[in-house]
Amino acid sequence: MSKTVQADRSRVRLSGLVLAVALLIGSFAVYFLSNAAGASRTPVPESAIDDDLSLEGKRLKGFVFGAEGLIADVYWMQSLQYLGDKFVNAPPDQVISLDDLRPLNPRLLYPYLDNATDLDPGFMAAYSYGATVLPAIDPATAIKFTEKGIASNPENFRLYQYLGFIYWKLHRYDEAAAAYERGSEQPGAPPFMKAMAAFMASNAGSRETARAMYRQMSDSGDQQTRLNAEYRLNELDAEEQVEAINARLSDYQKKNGSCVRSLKDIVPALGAVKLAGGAQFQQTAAGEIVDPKLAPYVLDSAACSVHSTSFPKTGANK
Amino acid sequence: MRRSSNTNYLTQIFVIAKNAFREAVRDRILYNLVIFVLLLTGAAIFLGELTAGQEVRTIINLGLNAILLFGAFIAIFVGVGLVSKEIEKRTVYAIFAKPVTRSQFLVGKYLGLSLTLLVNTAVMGIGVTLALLYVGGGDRLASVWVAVFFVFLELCVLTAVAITFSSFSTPALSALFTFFIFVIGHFSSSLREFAAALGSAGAKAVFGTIYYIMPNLSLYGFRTQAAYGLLPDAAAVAAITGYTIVYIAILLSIANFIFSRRNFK
Amino acid sequence: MEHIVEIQDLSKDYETGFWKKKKVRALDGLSLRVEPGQIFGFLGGNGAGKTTTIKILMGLLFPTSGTARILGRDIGDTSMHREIGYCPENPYFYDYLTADELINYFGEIFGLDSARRKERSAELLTKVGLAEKDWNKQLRKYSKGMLQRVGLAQSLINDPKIVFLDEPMSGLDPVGRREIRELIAELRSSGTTVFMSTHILSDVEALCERVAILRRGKLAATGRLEDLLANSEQQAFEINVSGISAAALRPFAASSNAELFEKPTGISLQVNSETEIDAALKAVRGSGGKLLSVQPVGRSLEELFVEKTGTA
Ligand SMILES: Nc1ncnc2c1ncn2[C@@H]1O[C@H](COP(=O)(O)OP(=O)(O)OP(=O)(O)O)[C@@H](O)[C@H]1O
Ligand SMILES: [Mg+2]
Repeated sequence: MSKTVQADRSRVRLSGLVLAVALLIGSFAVYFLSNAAGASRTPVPESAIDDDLSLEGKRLKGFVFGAEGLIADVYWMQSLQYLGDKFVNAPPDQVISLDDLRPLNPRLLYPYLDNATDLDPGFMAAYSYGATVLPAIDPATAIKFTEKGIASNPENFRLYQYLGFIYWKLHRYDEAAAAYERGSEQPGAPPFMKAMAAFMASNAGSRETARAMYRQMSDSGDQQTRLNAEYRLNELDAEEQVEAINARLSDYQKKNGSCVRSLKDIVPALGAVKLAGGAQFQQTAAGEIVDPKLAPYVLDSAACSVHSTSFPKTGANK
Repeated sequence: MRRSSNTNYLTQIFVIAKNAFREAVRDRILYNLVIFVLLLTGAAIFLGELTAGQEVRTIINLGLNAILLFGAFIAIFVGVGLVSKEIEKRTVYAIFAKPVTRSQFLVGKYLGLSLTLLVNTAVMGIGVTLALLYVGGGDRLASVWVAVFFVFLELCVLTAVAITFSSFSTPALSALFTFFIFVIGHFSSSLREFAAALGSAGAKAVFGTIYYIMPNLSLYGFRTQAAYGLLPDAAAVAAITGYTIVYIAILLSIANFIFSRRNFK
Repeated sequence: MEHIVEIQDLSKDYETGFWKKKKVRALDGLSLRVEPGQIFGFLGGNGAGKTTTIKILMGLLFPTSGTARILGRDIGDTSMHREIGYCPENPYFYDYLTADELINYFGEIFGLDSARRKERSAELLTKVGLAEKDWNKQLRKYSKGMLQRVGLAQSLINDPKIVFLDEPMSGLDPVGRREIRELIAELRSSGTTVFMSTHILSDVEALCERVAILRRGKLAATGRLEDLLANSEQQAFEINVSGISAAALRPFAASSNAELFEKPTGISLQVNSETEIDAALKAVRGSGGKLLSVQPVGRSLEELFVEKTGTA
């Protein structure tokens, strides 16, 4: 009697062991098979990555159970992701300037933003992002997009600011002035709108105007736009600093007949320079002159000029 | 059916409603809250990255639409079983031999599920509130709660639709019909605009009729607006609430008319 | 109020089929009266219409034609339900509730306060023989017989004047049956009228003063049980013989409609009247059989039931 009970128990224990072993082997099999299956999947053709199919969203308006805002958010996230992926996947040797994103061919960016704002016409972050990025892809769509925003939110001065910004970037100062003027008439528009309208008429091309422009963009809320504007402000500072350094370099060359061997030679001269807003050059502990990103300026002895590694545009400026 | 006695008419409704709520709790319906909380927590943590600083509006959009979706599931799938399950399992036999009229039973069951949905929606609303406070969107709370209230009203209508269908149809068909009404109810105003744009008189008449007969669920869509911190004016809230009450009363009257004539075979 | 239940010309057609075109007549012009203070047995074969009748009385089904009154009030009047009780056939209740919660729930419907409900619940569950350890178990874990007991308990929550029990003994074990039989007898002595349908004839014999027998939706017989049993037009007799084969008596049995049984001791012949005894004895003797005994047979309820319901 007790023998059979014991036999039963050991049989139960044995079958438990068998199950455990089977599960272990099974898990390994699942792991390898899943990897194998994943590796041998048929690749999606290159052309399908920029698939237009995902862009019919705006037709959904009124047919998404009131979730327009949420779907607009999805398009918004996709637009961010899309451009981000383009940057990440660009060939390493490709130089990309914020002023010209066309090499990346981000042709779906506008449709994404257009969808987002069709579904949710008051989506300000999308407009500000569009105003910042679209001019570098296709200025005409940038203007069209911002005008669409104005049509749905005619009382929001920010959109006029974006429009003015786009025209300014395109050096179409009259239209920029007009946009600022219209914006300044909207309720709650801050005084700088009026001031910008005046700037556009007088010295639209100046660095000061550019500074004011980006400072205001930076205040406009959207994080992407703010980062972009801060970069631009730093770039403007670097530009100014490169100009000042180069001026001192050519002074030195005129006086001594040769270029400096090290930038340290002109540090005293640079100490006297007053930068915009009364700022001074920044130096490291080792005495190197650094740009706003704290990277040392690089001296090109042959041309006897400097450039900033953080802001490639400053070197090419000359 | 005549009333049993005036003093007890509401008491019995209340007792039945309470039990229907207890049933929902014991059937673990409120467990959906766990999934919701996980969703929202994940969103609060990760959305900042994905949306470039737009997490406040995204949490509002995501949270409010999820409240509607989860609630609609409960309203449809629990709603259609509310009465038919009791007939099928023969639990109605003992009830109707007690001094309970068919209308009391129907209204009681309806209120029980509405109470369940109220609790569910409110807890989810609190979840959204906490997530918003976490990402610094505290200034939109008033609008969010208005939207939550509207979602609740919509769920009440949906429950009434479900219970009406289930008063004469099978649960599976009722669920299908109710889902259909949910879809049409959301589309009817867009369809009417569509028809108006097409300009055909026939289409206009058809979609106009649909628009007024079907519950106009697009009225309850205040979720996108809530993401901007907008508030509806009091008159609009009063009108929507009134519309809801009248619409539900009509549906329950129809359901009662059918249910009161049913043989429990 | 002379009658506590009055059923007048009640008919019920079940509509079946997809278009509800086909009709099954479950009740056909049933008229019945029940006097207060007694246990009334409602008998009939499977599908005779007992459950249908009770469900119509409870307002669960609507009659195709005819009327019925309980306690002098029309069955459409739900307020009468304050004073009646009902235990359905194979009862089923909310399986997410415990027995105690269920009784409390029904108590609330009757407006009992919580102290009274608690007291009633314990009292009733004890009365129907449910062990106290099961009171707080969810009903989904109950056996059929336990559910039957809960069904009986809930039917008595409001101290009803009349209680309708549809096969109250089904699913019960022998001890349970005796307990419930005692409970029903107790109800009667406390003045409650009991209207019960059942197949179990020994219960009917032990409990019921009056019965009604239903056959295919029609009333086949009704009256005091004693009267029905005595009221057989003819007295039957059993004649036991030996020494002959059954085949020898078969022609006689066929001609006089007598019944023939083979027994270990010989053959038993059952004739339907006194006048047929002589003829039977003649037939026995004619074939060389030996007479063992002749005795009158009391009509059993079973025979009455078989005769009235004609189970063929
Ligand atoms: N839901 C139904 N649909 C169609 N016919 C039905 C339905 N319920 C009962 N019937 C029919 O009505 C007749 C009476 O049924 P009922 O249930 O009243 O019998 P009963 O006397 O209670 O039988 P039992 O002793 O088996 O419980 C039967 O012929 C049955 O087939
Ligand atoms: Mg029956």
